[in-house]
Amino acid sequence: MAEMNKFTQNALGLASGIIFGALLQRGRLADSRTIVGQLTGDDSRVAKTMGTAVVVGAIGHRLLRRRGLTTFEPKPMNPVGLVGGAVLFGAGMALSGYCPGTAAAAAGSGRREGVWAMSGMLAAAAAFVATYPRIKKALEVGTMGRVNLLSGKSAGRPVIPLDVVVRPRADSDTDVTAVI
Amino acid sequence: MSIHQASIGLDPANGHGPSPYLIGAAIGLLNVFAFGAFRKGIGISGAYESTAALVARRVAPDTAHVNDYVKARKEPPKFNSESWMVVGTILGGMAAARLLGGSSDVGRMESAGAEPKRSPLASAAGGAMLMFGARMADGCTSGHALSGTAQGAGSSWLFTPLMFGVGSLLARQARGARRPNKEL
Repeated sequence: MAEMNKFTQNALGLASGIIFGALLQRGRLADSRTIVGQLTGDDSRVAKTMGTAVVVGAIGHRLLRRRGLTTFEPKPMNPVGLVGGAVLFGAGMALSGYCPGTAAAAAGSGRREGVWAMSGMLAAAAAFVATYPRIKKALEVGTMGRVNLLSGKSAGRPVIPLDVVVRPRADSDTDVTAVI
Repeated sequence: MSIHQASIGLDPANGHGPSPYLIGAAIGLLNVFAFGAFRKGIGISGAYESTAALVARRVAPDTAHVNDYVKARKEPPKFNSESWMVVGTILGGMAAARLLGGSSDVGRMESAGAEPKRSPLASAAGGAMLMFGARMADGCTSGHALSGTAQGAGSSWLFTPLMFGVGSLLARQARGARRPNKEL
């Protein structure tokens, strides 16, 4: 797709979000009971929905990539951040019955628990902003860069010049201060 | 599910409503659109972080160490298309509930096995935990579980099963702890 200006990008972001929120609500994923039901094994709706979405997304991504219409930028393989984050995320999802997207759709659909969950998320995001400079190094210990399972090799850093996250010992403070 | 039920998109196990496969396919197509339009898939939790950073910069820049944060991230927070996507998700949930009805509650009575509604504290505390986790891992159910897995990202295939596994273990334990009380 051709390069878009900011306004078009934002408008498309808004439109995609509206469709996403409507699909989550119609698919009953904007409901903590559905998500907790999946976690306890009583309701398979989340697995069926996400499984289908991943398969369709994977086929579409492959087709687009073959035609050079999209890029492949996997999030960096930082074992500490990923494992610690996954444990916290799983525990939080079991407790609240939401995730960031479904909470937004739930809040919009009038569920108060969605509003509470979003409030907690924003507070935690602020806490993360305040602590990130101090925990960044710890989160990136043992990083393996951007790992692509399909090609079996790391996409590597040199491909992405602005890749700040995969540089564990980047001497960022000095050079970045100059840029900013 | 019988072939007939599948063909009309209904899932008998979950009352009347669109089939999860249909919803999943639509979300997958939306993600393919995002791959083309934004050059990356749907991602939600990053917008929470940039919004929080923008608010912190305005309200309490020193307390939140916003300057250090910007240095560490190497780019200033922006209210960009991802942020608009979250705004859209709220509006989409609202529009679907208002125009098409709150399908979440229709035809789904609180059965004996149904999970109780969450308390405000559980919702907020759970939301806080998972968001901090999502930012530690640089993604959530959208960025990792939907988009990253579809691309074959190693990080997403580590995060997603682990996250669902931990959630499942804890939810099952919580249910086990609640059940004896119900019987009393």
